[in-house]
Amino acid sequence: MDNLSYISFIAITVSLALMLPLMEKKLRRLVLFMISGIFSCLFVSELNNILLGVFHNDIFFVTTTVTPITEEIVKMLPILFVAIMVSDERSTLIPISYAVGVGFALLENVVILTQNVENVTILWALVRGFGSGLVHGICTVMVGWGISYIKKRRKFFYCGTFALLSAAVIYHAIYNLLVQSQYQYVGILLPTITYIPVVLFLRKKKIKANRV
Amino acid sequence: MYLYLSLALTVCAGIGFAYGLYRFFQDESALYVRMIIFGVGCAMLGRLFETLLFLVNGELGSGFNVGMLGIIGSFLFFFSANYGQMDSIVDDGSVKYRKTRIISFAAPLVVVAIWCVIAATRGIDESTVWVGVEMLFVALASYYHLKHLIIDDVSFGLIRSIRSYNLLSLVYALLCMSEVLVECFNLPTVCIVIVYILECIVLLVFVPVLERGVKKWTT
Repeated sequence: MDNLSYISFIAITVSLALMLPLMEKKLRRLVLFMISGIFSCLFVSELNNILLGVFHNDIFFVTTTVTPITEEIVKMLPILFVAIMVSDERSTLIPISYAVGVGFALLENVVILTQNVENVTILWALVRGFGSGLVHGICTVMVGWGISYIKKRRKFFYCGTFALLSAAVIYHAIYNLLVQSQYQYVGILLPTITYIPVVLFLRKKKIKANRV
Repeated sequence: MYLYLSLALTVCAGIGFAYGLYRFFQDESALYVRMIIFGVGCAMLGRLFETLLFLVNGELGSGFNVGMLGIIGSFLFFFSANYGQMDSIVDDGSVKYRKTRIISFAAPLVVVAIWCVIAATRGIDESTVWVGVEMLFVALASYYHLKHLIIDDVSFGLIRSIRSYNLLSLVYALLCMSEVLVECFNLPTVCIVIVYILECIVLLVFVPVLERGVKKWTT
């Protein structure tokens, strides 16, 4: 049997790519970046396999220390590309960042599902959706939102981007650490606890801006 | 013991960060201030990771752990704020500030000296190298903190009003290094407790002190 990651990647991206010509510009951009997130996941899965070998198959160490770094760096690249080449507007960067994160989580979930097909349940799906799906989205949004501030001045940009990446890596590592420990329920709730106030805050700001 | 101290640091940084979000992210505020609040948030995340790692594993382990990125990230945010925003306003590159620029190198030199002491005591191993990487970012930020502490004020008292913040940042940098020093020389537990309590206080008052200074910009 061929590599399941590649099979899943092709099956998902071809369907999404064929949808692109029929879409409007804004929506097309979102789907395009979702595809780039899916591709990032494929790339990172290969990279992580190599790193797992380098670190003597110590899964706990690799998932809490190495993979958050590799995953966040690779997910940040499409966002950096947009910020530098297209637009550093917050209204552009935040949806794109979330699309990259969701795309990444989508392939990750599909690959894990295919590897554990006999053990998965509805609860598993909910945990993956509200847990890792949200974590990838939150981490990339954190970077995208921050870049929209720091891109305005070159002196901010380089150090600021690295600092934002650090924050995203730590958040991701905290999640990975918790879900592998006896406190996994806290880990599963962590993204939701972060997501709800952020969404409420952004909505409040939007309403305030519309009033003005 | 370490678990509770680390938890206390996480909580204090969390309170500081939440207060910063509440005070400065409701309406438009200076990017300089926002960067510093991001820095406090990054410190909180780093401490949270270390606390949880200690809780799960019972030890932090030697060498690199992701919690170190909390210190690196927070000092990078402080550095970006000072270098990217404030420094171009307070230092026009003229000769009259040359002396200040040279004196300011004292701060990073102290950081380097402390690392040399640690390296001489422990020897160069993986852990010392990672502490060195961490201290590199502390050194970068501390240069501007000292510079903005001693530099002549520009008009409107822009830099004078945030001197207490810069002093506090220098103290925080020193405390972060003290953590490693205490561990390196196997000093009594009371020293560790004192360092952590001081760090908790600094993280708690960081944003209010900054707020008090920034308020003077508009009054």
